[in-house]
Amino acid sequence: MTNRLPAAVRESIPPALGIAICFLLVPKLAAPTALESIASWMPMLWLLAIGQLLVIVAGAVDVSVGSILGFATMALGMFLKTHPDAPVALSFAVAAGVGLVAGLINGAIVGYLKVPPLVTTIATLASFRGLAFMVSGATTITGSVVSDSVTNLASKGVPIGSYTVPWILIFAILAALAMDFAVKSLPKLRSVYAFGSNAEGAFRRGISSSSIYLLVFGLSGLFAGFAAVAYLSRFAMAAPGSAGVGLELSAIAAVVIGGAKLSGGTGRIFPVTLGCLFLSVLNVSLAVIGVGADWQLLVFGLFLLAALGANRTADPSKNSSSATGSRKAA
Amino acid sequence: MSKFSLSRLGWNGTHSLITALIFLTLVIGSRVSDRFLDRVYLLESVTLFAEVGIVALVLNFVIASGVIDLSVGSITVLVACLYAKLSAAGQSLPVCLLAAIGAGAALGWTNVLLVKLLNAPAFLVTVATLALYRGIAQVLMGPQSVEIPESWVGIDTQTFVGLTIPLWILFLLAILIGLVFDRHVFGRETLAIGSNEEAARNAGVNVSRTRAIAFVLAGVASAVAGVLMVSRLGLARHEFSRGIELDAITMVVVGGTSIRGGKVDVLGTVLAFLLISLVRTVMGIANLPAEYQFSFMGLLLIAAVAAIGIQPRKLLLRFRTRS
Repeated sequence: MTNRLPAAVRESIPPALGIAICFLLVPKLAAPTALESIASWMPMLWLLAIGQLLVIVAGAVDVSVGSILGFATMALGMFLKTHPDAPVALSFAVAAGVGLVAGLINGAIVGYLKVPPLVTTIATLASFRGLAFMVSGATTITGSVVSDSVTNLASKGVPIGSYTVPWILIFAILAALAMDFAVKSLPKLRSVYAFGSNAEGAFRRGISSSSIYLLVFGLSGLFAGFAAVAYLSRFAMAAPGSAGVGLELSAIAAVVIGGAKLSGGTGRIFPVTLGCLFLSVLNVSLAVIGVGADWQLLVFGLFLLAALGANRTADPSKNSSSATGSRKAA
Repeated sequence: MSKFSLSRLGWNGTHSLITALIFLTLVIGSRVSDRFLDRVYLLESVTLFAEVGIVALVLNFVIASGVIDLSVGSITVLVACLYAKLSAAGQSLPVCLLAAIGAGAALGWTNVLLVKLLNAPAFLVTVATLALYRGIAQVLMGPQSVEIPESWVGIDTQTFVGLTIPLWILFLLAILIGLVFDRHVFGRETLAIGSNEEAARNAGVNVSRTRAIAFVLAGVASAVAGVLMVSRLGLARHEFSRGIELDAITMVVVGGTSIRGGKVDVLGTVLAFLLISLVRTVMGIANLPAEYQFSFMGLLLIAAVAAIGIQPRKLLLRFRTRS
């Protein structure tokens, strides 16, 4: 019966329900401070999840985005150290450039060296984390280094009534709208969907797997670079050992909650956006009701499992054959 | 045929390459520090990695069957914490050990149940349990570390006929696993599933049962690693053994086991264990921070898989002539 609904609506139901339940159970969430902390959580996760979505649509997975974010954050921090009055556009360019290069490295390893995506990104998860240490000389980026032009992205914005929408959230909204439009209209991005639902068929139509992998991992890295700006603007400091650690799990969870099939081929920006919103709301509600930091990892693991359960795909045979996520790359 | 050759014992090009690299590492190590080639020092430093080596050996079953288990590091740390908590509560040594091994099996079994229940790919389920199991350890321990009684401290320093106890466990386990893959139905069925799941199912192999056993074994091996770890360190904390799944998978893949399943190389895993533990030791005495070492492990993993991917045809030929 739910099959009658358009897919975008159907996939939006689980995250929307989750958000509604959080607000019902935790009425304090409607307070302005809680809403503000949701709004400051959301952009970083959202940007990461948009990049991750395309990778998952292509039938792969990118677990290195947390480390790419760390690497790009440290690179941006070091850049700001030497160029304290750099315009904000340049900050974006630096972080995005570092992220893009890192993503293209992933894409080249998967596409040309034919290493399975999961194995590649587990390996680069470690390697990019090492680069985060190398680029910063294992030092911490402190608040005095991070210029106001970057922190203003999170603290200033467009006022709506008594409430301000931070610039970085506006950037994320624009990025999501742009990606949504691009995914619907650009043939190259359409072919990612074709490739994800049937790699063999896509190959026969002249779509090369290496170019797809280069594209999706490159975009995933690029968005992780954008997310690095969001990270630095929100926290105004960064340590190479902790910036972005574990965020890949949140990004994957958001995409899974947003109804994208793990076997590839489907996935929409809007439901994934709700997935991100849900995770942000959940995060803040846990803090509001006083669940300690010690519990977060456990709760998070449970939610990822619940999301996997909710996402149970219609085609089990296809799902089990992609069990390692590696067959597609073979 | 009567002529003796190493290849009849299963020695192949990968093994020669790894052995050469081991010697190279020894030479480089002796240049970095005069005391590197000291027998006791080498034994100690290789023992440090025996826990990961044990996990890697058993992970061969999971990987050879064509799937992957990323939760091994979290099982290791959770079991270590459980052991510490139990022994701090005054339980006797055998009870603690049995409970620890049982917990490892149960956690491995939980992975299996979740894969079946959620009908999701194993790697994603184990990504979730990676977070879940470590999360449980964190809730259990909080920020403190729990010390264990003297009775189980320092098994890594006890030697028997020239080798430490963890290394004995590792080498005996390697022989056992080698035999299972070579002779036992379970090993043969694991390889059959890894090379062609559909064909194996048609040939009457119980695919889900065989994989379930592989996951439970990986859980037990992680528990053994956890118990050895508490013994070595004398205490447990929830943030221990982070990222050892990368080390373990790298050992398996560098050793020549195919990440896509269907081909296993137990001797290769042992040699890769020796190589990686020596390389990590050299990097340690050269004062390379842990994160740089991880970077290197990542590169090594990619290089190993890519080296196989680049010449698939050659590999296929070697397969055919050997089996």
